[in-house]
Amino acid sequence: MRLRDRIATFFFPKGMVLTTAALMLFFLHLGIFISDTHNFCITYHYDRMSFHYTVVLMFSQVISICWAATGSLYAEMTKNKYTCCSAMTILILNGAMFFSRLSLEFLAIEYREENH
Amino acid sequence: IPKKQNRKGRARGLRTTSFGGRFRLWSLGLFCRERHLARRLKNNSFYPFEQQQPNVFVLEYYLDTLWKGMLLFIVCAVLVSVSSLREVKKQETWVFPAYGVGVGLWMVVSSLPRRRLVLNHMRGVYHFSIQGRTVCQGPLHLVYVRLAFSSDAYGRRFFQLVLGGHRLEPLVLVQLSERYEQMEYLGRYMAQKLNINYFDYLATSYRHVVRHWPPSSGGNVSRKNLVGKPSSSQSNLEV
Repeated sequence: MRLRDRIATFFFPKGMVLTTAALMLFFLHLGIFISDTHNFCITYHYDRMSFHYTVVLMFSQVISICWAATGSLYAEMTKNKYTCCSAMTILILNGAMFFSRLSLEFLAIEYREENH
Repeated sequence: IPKKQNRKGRARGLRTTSFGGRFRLWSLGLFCRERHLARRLKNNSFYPFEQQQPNVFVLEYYLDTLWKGMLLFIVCAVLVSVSSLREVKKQETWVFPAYGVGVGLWMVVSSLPRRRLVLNHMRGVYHFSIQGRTVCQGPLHLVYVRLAFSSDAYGRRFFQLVLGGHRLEPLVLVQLSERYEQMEYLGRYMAQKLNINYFDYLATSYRHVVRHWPPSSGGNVSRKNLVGKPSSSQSNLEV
């Protein structure tokens, strides 16, 4: 089936949709992370950081890791080296995003802690 | 010329398949699922297909993710609009249902195109298309009815009757049921009526009914391959 037909009928291999969704979420998280780091380290507008969305962000990151993992499982079953590789890369990127987010949160907590 | 014939066939198919018939795979019966299927087989012995010409069977259907996606979409849209749930303890929470809206929308959009599966015994091929665009076409030995096996934590055994094939979406005909004999009977009956292969839930079994062999049938090797196919890990996961 050609790609044009696939797009017209929204018929993709199951794993591919999940991997693409995980990639989109990764870019979203990356954008939020960059703006947070910018506000935290450079402009010092701490109230513009995403503290009101912490719960949602955690949920969303976990979801995107889960989707990427499922997508890479499906990609493993197709035994196509290229898809396997890209799915695994997206999974690793999502994991790295999660840990960098975690370290930023810890930095923010340490900064906001009150010492008397 | 074949294209013309194809189009003619499609037009005829559109006439024969009733609108409600496309949704008949959605209701598999809540209790006594085998009896539900048996009743349907009584009304139309080629269920879920419809006989278009002698030896040409057509199935048009919509995926059941259509109604599931719609339900998810509506529920989440309502949740997003409820103002009291938007913020809990200074944490924005409206994003959770917003994700549900997105997922539901994708499910609806991706299952809106109509699927069409044709078993053509005159030419010995099956043809699967979505909204008139061919997904795959191949010899009939790649389409089969099979039992899928799963067991729960207490060791109870459940069986599903599945219509599957190479690059087809597996269609569940009977949801999880414990009655092996009835399921096997129904599966064999359907496979006989549709004249396609039937496979048991085990990879090697005496209960397979193989009506179509691969063309290069060179004895034991291809036989083993064919028997092993439906229970490979991929089809297990897909069901």
